[in-house]
Amino acid sequence: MSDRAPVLEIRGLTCRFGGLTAVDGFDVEVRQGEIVSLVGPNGAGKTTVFNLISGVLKPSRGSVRLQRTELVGRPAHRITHLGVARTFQNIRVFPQLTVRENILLGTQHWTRSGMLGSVTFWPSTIRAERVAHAEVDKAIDLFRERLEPRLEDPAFTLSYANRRRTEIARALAARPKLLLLDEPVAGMNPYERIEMAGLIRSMRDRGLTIFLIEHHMPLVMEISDRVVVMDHGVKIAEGLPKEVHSNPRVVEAYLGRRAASA
Amino acid sequence: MDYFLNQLINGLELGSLYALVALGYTLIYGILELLNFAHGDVFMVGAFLAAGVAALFVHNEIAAIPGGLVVVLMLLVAIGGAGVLGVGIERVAYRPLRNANRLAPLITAIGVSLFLENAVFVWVSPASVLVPTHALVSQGVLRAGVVETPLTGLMLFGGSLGLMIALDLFVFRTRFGSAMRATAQDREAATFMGIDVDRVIMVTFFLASALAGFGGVLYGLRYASVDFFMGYGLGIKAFTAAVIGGIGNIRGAMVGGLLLGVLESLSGGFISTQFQDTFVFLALIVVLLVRPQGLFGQPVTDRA
Amino acid sequence: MSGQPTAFEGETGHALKRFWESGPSGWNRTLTRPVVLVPFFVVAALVPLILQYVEDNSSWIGAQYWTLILATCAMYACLAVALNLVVGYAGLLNLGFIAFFGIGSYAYALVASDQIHQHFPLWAALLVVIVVTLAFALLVGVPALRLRGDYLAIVTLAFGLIMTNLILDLDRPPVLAGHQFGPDGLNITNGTNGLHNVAPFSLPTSLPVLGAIPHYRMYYWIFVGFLALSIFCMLRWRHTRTGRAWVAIRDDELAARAMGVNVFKYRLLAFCTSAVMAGIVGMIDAALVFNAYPENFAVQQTVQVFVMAILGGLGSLPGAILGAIAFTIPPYVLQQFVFYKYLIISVVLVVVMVLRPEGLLGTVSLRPRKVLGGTVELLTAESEEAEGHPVDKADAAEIEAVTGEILTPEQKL
Repeated sequence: MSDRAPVLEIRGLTCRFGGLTAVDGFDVEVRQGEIVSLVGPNGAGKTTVFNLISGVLKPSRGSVRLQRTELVGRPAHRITHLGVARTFQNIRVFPQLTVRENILLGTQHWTRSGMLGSVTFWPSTIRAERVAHAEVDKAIDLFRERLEPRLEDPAFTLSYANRRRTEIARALAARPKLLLLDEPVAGMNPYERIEMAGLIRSMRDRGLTIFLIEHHMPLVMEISDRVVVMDHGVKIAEGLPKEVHSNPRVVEAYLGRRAASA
Repeated sequence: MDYFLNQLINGLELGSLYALVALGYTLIYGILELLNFAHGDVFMVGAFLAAGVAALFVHNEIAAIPGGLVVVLMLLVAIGGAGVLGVGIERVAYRPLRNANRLAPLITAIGVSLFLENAVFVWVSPASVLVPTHALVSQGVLRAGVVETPLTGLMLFGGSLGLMIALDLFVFRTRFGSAMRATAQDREAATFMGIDVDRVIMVTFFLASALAGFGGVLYGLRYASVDFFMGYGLGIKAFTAAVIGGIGNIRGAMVGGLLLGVLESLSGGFISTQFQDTFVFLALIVVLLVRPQGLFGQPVTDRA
Repeated sequence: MSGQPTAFEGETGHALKRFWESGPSGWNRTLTRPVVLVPFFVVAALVPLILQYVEDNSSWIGAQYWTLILATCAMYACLAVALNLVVGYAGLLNLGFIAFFGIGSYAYALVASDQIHQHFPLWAALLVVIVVTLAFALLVGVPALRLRGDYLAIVTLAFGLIMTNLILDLDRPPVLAGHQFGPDGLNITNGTNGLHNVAPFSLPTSLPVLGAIPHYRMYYWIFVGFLALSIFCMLRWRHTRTGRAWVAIRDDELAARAMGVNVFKYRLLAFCTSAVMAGIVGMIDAALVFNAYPENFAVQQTVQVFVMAILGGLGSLPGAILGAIAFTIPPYVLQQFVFYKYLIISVVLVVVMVLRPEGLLGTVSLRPRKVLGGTVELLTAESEEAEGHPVDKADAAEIEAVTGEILTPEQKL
């Protein structure tokens, strides 16, 4: 596994809010074609790491590299352009746009067409739109049965699981090198979870590199190539799923926290 | 130098008025994150209520009531009336939209503002109304060396300052004040702590509007004339003051109001009366660009 | 597509029933089809001819008067469509909107009257109007669009007031700190009187087939033509890359940014386009009435156009036209109530907003929403992340700031 080129390299990532250190000296490497899961108790700083990678937040210190390109200091839309796409913990589809338009948004950063071109039916604009629409068809490939009948419906009419699917299809349409999935099976029923696990694997098989946050341990154990565990903003363990599973620090972080909050 | 001092005094008087109205914006924004465009018009309604009371007693000579008592009546009616009006506006126009898109209450706020202006225009007076201030309070002029100012101006300044201190004490020293601050920080958490958020919002609107009503009375006494459009420009200036001081910050609004009044008066006196208002709004834009959190707001960008 | 009839054989009643049941978004989709729009504009263009015909063949006189009213109506429809772009599509509360209409009217009046003795040909005047409104839009937009939404509202409102002041005060040379700029007799805006004797467009006054074209009818057609052009552009934009980006930003700014949308750029595009459209409408208006008035900048006008766009429904083009008709024709018919015009407008605005915030035909829901989008949700999500630690106001402000709610220039996310 380690012979492959790293897609994402994070070194010494630190983020403070006022007096609170949400992420403290976090390191991680995700290699080409890997599925790496980031786990940890609530409040461990997992989503903050995602926000730092995708440029939603700016780190206090540290470096985030995508295939050797430094991402820190770049605006979020530039980072997407460089090849990072993400989904959100609490699904952020555009409610008033149709499913198709939502997915088209993914193509926004790699298609070129302007206001003038669109009113003059300029050939390059027409071509760009055609390519974008074709990409929608590709992006929903994995969810065809679920999303195809709903393509023209506004996203706010969708079920929870379909919104997740739309959000993932949107991220895929962005043609990312690295896909960040924030709790992709949260709120799903067991059948949908199994389906999603299969989807994540087939996305990897198509060459995508995936970094995901997940609470649902069986899923993490099943699909991950490696697991990274965080607590209090610090990485406390890293390794193969079964190594991490039996690591005493991990067990303590989970059980200790649970006992305290119970 | 004399001219400078007098302009400064004028500016402080005007600024204390801005501060009073700015407090209302800041209180409401602090609690609801709502820019209450109608607030300046609540001030205008307060001024009209006071002018009405004054006209009733002075012109009709119902009874030989001493001027001081009339002023007290004016204050009671204007403060109470404006306060009730504010609570009513919140109930009708803002509460149904409390969790809606931010655009929605902003648009109703503009609607309410236009409604109040036109209601006064149509049903009260399309022209400006004189306040018989000479029959109510001493028209004396206070001289201290080279500085001179009418007593009514001093009343305006002193009264505003007194109320501001009272408000500050209320918000920072009383139980209800701490409930207000809790609601401002996190409405949901405040609900969990057993705070009746609806009541806090109602009282906030009452206080904010009552301050504006008080300002309206003093405005009438100092400048002797009120009109339906007066709340509009003053409202925007007061909001500017609130932004300069850091919106949501009570003490900031007071300082912001005074600063803005002085800025307006000095730029009018020394640069150009023609462009006095333009300078005020330019100040707003500059402050928003350089320090969007205001002079006394929480710094929001302390990162490198 | 729910609005698309699958079988054309269905009887009319059935089709109407289906149309009714398709709901606001279906109505919008149906009403913005070329099948509906093209006949609508053809009929709209024919109306003054019909009025003329009726006048010629009956004792009724008023074809000219009504053509003027219709021209006003078409003008407000153009403004409502332009406002719909900035508020309905891009979600930017531009309260200085009408100032751009005023700027357009004054820019044209200055180069087409004796005020500064300039008489530009039409194309040059149009260019001046576009450049001047664009310059003002950039002046306001570039700084203000980096601020959060309600600050934009106040900055644009302040901009409107500054413009009103300048228009009223620039009838004499500006004096700053005792120094006079410009010669003694300098009078650019003519103060409260406005600019008079503005030349109408130099267009042919008669056409083959149609014969002589009276002034009002000509400008009615110009407005209707501009409206048709605007609606065509809006529909094209809405259904291509640019429009999708606008609506995405309006729906969920953070997600839009995460999908690679340069939020600032698209906001500025929407703001400036809408401003230039308003400027051109102002120019046509100045030529129609031969004047440019300071009242062109009045904030009530902004509110009036807002009411039109909102009653019809934000985001809906047929709604904008409907709103313009609903608020332009009745004041002329009900002359006795004209005194109460703004009172009625304000009541309608509040009532519509409270009872049906999405308007009659609107697709933009401004209703309370808990599940989808919005900054509030972002904040709670972040607080969950920091669960177990006290999240105080500073943290919330910090998070809010860095997630782009307040954008300071040095951040440039």
